Amino acid sequence: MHEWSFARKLLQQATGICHANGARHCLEVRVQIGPLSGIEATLLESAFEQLASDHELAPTRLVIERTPLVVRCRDCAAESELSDFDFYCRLCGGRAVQVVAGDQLQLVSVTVDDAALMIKGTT
Amino acid sequence: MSKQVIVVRRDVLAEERADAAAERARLAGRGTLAVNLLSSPGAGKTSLLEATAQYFQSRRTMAVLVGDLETDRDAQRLARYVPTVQLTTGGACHLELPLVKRGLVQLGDPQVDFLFIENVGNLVCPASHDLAEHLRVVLLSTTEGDDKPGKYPKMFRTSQAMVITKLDLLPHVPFSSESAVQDAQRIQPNLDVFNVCALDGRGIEEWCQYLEQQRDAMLQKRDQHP
Ligand SMILES: [Zn+2]
Repeated sequence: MHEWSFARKLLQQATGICHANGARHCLEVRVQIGPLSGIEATLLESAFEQLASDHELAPTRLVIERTPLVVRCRDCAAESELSDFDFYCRLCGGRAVQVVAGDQLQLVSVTVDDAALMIKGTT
Repeated sequence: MSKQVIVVRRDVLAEERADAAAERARLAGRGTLAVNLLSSPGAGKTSLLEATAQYFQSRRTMAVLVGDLETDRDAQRLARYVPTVQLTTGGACHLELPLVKRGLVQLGDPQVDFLFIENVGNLVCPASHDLAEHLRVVLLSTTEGDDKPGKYPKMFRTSQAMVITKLDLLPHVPFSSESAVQDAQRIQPNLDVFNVCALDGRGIEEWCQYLEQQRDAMLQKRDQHP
């Protein structure tokens, strides 16, 4: 259940971004998770919902986009999208592949209101 | 009310990872190889560490940080052999770097050859968190299913070595080492595999020599790119 710790980090980072932009409310936090992120989307969602409900930034909605697992071959440089966890290059069959996407929780964007305050240029 | 989308595109763990890299370099500078041990509960992390401590006894120095949910039983067992500190996770399912750093301070930041971090027994959550280790090792006991690797891909993908434990029970359980290894190497082709029995000491020497090789390689790399 480390989704709680991820939800907490997301809120912290969103708060920092809001403050840096002079916004007091965060309407939406958009993230991407991949198959190798180790994160369960529904658990992240419910943890975030609970933490965000009485947060200074509320009301904040979490939007989760799912991204594929992509590897790059060290031999032929081809990129393959994996549909399972069999790690090999789909072009040349080589096993020396490096994960280039799908193993993280990415904070994609933060949508704020009262962004008019940004004119003050706090960034 | 006006709306504005602020594009971020950042790994949520980016900051932690940078902290871990800095700590990893600091430990390397002191000649300490940090080893993060991960497994399900009861796979034999503590027994492996006891056997490791006995093997290294007079020739190598080591210290242990034990992440345990509730009790300090594992820490007490190990404290008989080597400096050990229990990290109280307060029920958390995994360790994070700040806790490890605090543990190191509690240990007196010893200049040891090996620092072992016995992670909380869990094959999911600890996989996401970099504890500044140089070597991540996953344990798989013969009493678990040999289909574990496929169920916990992140854990096996992010590990450099797998230790199959409780070899003595192999005749009594439906566990196939070959299929476990095959499964794991489909996920992580470079996985180094060890078979051990902490009880009778089988495989402990190979495991400990591997640790020494890994430390030598780390020192060499450190001195080439200081
Ligand atoms: Zn290829």
